[in-house]
Amino acid sequence: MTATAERADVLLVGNPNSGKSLLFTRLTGIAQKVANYPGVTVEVRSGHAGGLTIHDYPGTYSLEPLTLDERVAIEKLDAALGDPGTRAIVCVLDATRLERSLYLLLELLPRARKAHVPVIAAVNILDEVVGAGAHIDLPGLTAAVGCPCIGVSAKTGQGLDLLRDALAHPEEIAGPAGELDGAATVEERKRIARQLNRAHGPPGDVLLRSQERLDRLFLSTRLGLPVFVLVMAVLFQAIFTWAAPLMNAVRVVVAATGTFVSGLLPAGLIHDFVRDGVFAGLGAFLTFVPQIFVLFLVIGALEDSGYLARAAVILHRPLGWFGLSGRSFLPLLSGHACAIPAMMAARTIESPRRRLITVLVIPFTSCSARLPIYALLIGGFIPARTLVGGLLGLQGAVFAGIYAFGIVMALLAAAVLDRLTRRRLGNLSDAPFVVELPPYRLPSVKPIVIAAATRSWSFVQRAAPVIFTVVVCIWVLGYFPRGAGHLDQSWLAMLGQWLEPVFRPMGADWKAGVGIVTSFAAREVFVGTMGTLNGLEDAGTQLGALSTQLHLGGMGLAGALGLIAFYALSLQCASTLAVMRKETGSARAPVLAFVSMTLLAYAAAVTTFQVARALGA
Amino acid sequence: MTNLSHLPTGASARISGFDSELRPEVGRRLRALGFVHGSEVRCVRRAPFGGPRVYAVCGAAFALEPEVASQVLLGAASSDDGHR
Repeated sequence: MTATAERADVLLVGNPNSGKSLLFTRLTGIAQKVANYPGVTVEVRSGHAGGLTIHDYPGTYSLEPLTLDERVAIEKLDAALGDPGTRAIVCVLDATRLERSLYLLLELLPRARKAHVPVIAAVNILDEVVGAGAHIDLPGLTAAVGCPCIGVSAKTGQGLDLLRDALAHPEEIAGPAGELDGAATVEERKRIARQLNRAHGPPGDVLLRSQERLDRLFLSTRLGLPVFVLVMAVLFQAIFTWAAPLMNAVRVVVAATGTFVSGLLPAGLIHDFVRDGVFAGLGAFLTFVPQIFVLFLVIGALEDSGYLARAAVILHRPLGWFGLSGRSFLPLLSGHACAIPAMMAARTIESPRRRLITVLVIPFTSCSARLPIYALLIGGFIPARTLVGGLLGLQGAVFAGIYAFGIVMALLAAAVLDRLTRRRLGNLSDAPFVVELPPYRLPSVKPIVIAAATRSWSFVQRAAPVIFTVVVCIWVLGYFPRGAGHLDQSWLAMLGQWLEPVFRPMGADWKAGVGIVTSFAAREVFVGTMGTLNGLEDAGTQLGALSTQLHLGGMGLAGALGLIAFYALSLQCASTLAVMRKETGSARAPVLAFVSMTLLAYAAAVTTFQVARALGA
Repeated sequence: MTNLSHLPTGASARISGFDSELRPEVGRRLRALGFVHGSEVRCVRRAPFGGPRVYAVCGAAFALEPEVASQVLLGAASSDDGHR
């Protein structure tokens, strides 16, 4: 009995696009926690409302699972139903799509009744039920289903007090159990839902008509694609330009804190470790967090607006040629910022096989950690010539070419993986592409910001331990046996010199070799390592000086092109591998991706260097 | 007997059943969404590149890939005024 007195859990369930997450944020405020389950991609968010803990379950159309993820989510829900700490279930209904929402409620009621858990139906999106005769008969619905039906609008806040009151004193389901519980088949539940909707719901489908008008543009056979390209261009711009000031701020703050903290420590091992290991290493990682936050923000807005579903529909067939799904496009796009949130975004892909393929090819897309390396090599070795009568710079063209190369390689790799996995995993494990096209809605700012912040924090928690471990290892190798400032005589340098025969064929000397080895922690480390090996204090701000040093060290255009090819294809990111392992639930995927991409990158680098040199570069 | 993938844009018809090849759990889900025997379905539009088509059923719109749509069987096509 004491356990029930201590805990009071409320389970929030409902259809996708029913405004469930917005209602959750309205009830709980900004302090949220995300629970992920290993192996699958089910995400349950929790937050507090008064003395209650509210758990937001993934949106679902039915309690009969279609995919593995749904099965896990429904098993978790069933387990929670049997838990004595569960006080009530809130089933969120969409007032504008009442019939379908009622179907889920009808599935839920018998289970809840058996477990003696009260159900409260929150009839959400009431603010959009407007116009002549548009009205929902809530008392009638309450009497018919036997649980309180409360009209709310998570957007305007209407009815939320009533919902809170009902949650404070939940009552067991009353009323006519007979007919509702007897509805054992899909058809019967569907029939009752239709009757209930006719008797108590709003008439007509006004919303569907207005949505179809907008779809005439967004899904148009002629204009659909240009509009899509435009939306993506804006999105890309947002990820790179909005995040830039935030990234700079983080860089400055981390550097200043590092200087301050290491200034407090006496000179020696600890001081050097804190300054060059902890702060320099983690600073390079934390710099990317704002970009990931903006990415989550933009994706959240796109999702809430209803456009994401349209984009998936437009691209489903073209991506299908490469064994991917329409829903693979968002992960692949996100990969251009960072592979880690991209792999997390792959969770929405309905087919397990296509999700696996998507996760495996994401590292080919040109993530922003590669940017500093490209900036160094392109700025230093590609001549600043203009093309097409001054419209396009050669350096810019090479940049664009690297991005296009990444996309093409990702698609080709997907096609190969599709062939390889089709026989073993088969099409049987493929869930079909059935996507609801939700109404177009203006996104609400607050919940998107909160969700983006929660997800970014969850990203930091996932990636930070791995990055930290690798940073420490590399720092130790680079520090000993001679101490700070002697990287060229460290174990790391010995390793580089020992490995030089491996790097020679791709035109890299032992210094570049060390740079490559250190960037197995994270690619952006390369620039810093090259700086240190060439005696520059802060290589990130002295790219020009560094490239002069590289020229003096004997690197030419061919060597630079070889390095670019290597970095375009190699999977040098410890945190990507760690997250890939978590997202796929096995170590095989990251090992396969790492080995094959490293070999591919090496082969491409050697070929590029040898061909470029033969051509006289 | 015809199926959903043959329904022309703008036309409506009633669902008469499912192909026996359709996996049971997919059929259950489609029925839960509203693609149930006797429901009226309208083909709203086609997506570019011959991809999924958009169908309106029970007051909501869904995009279905042709492979799935072809397993939803239709009865005699109803006229546009339908049963509202």
